Amino acid sequence: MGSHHDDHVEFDTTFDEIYPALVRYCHRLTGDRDVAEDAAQEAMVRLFTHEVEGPIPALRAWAFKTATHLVRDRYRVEENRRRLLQVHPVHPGQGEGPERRVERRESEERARAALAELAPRDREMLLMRYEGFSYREIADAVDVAATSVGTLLARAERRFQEVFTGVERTA
Amino acid sequence: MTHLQESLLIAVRDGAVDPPTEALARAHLATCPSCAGDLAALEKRGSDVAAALETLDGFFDAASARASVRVRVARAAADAVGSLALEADGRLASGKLSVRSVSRRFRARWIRAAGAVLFLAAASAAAALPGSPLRRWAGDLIEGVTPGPAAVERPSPAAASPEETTGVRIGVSEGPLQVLLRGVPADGEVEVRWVSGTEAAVFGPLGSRFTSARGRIEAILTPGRVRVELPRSVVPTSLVVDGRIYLSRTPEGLTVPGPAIREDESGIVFRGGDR
Repeated sequence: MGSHHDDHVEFDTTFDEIYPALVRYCHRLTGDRDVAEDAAQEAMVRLFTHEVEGPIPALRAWAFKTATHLVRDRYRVEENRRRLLQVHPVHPGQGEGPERRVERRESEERARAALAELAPRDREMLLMRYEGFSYREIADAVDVAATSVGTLLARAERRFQEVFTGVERTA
Repeated sequence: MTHLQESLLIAVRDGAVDPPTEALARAHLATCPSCAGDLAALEKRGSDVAAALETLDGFFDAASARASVRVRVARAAADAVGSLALEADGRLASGKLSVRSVSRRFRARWIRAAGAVLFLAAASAAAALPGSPLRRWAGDLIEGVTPGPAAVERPSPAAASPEETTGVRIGVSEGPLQVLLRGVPADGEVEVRWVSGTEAAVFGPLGSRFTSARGRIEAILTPGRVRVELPRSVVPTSLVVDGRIYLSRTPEGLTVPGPAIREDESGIVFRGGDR
């Protein structure tokens, strides 16, 4: 039973270390709760069935890379791609007042519009950066040279802020 | 004076440069107010972007996702042992087959999965013979591989009829309780049962997906019969089907705006998908 318990602990620990950030990343990337959960869970299933070995940070990077490719595949068709860029509502928490809800919705729409302005690779890089990945891990996930990550991130972040605050000024 | 490029500054901000390069950059920053100002602006921009991204975040039920992934991983291994997997499917769906058999160390996964499946088949046969000494032995062993406590919410087929093959159950000691159903076809039915105790549950056809949070269950259902269990004692309680309120129970009483087909003391049966 000890081994059985250890296996469960290992499964649960690995899952809990990776999944919450992974599904958040997928949701930010797609704006679609269902797609985000599908991609994140599929990546986790593959992680556990593909003999992926290594410390948690390496497993985490593997899962993010896999989920990124799953999302890319899902939105390869242009029709679906348009859906990617739509604003999808996020259910507010209970107790949130109507004013706060409106503010949150407006901010969410601006953030979604800003992400939509970015090229897919830039969007992935930006979101992975804000999940705490190193430049090397980002480079590996999106297939760019590690030395280019700083330049590409700077451009993506600047563009995001321009659109986000630009919408804010005209609102 | 030559100034630092934005790409280097952002790498310094992110701690993504090697120590010698960072030392040079920091030395420059100490003597260059322009670059120091740029770095401060980048730090603020980073905070602003992080805050903006957080507005996109919603609630995701990791416990249900964990249970779902565990079942899928176990099923993937069981599928590999061919038709015998069918024998184990009920056990897998209920989470009673240990993920041990399909751990990441897959060296023995097929042997383990096959063993688990054969064992479950034998246990099922033993359990079918009242009075058999195997019955208790098999039952004890099956319980011995029940998943650990981390799977807070998992399918509860023991409480479901054969056609209600998956579901979720949550504890809810006080209101509000909200149950949201999506995907109920127009010709489907939603059966609501009032139950004693402090647990709410939703059961639907295999393939349905569930998320839950404190006082809340959401289900995206595949076509078929749906059963909802609502504790009598919890108010306020509401049931929303495809965006429409079907019932609302408050301290003042029960209102049923949904398309009820039958109603009695034990519960209500609604027509589904009425928009």
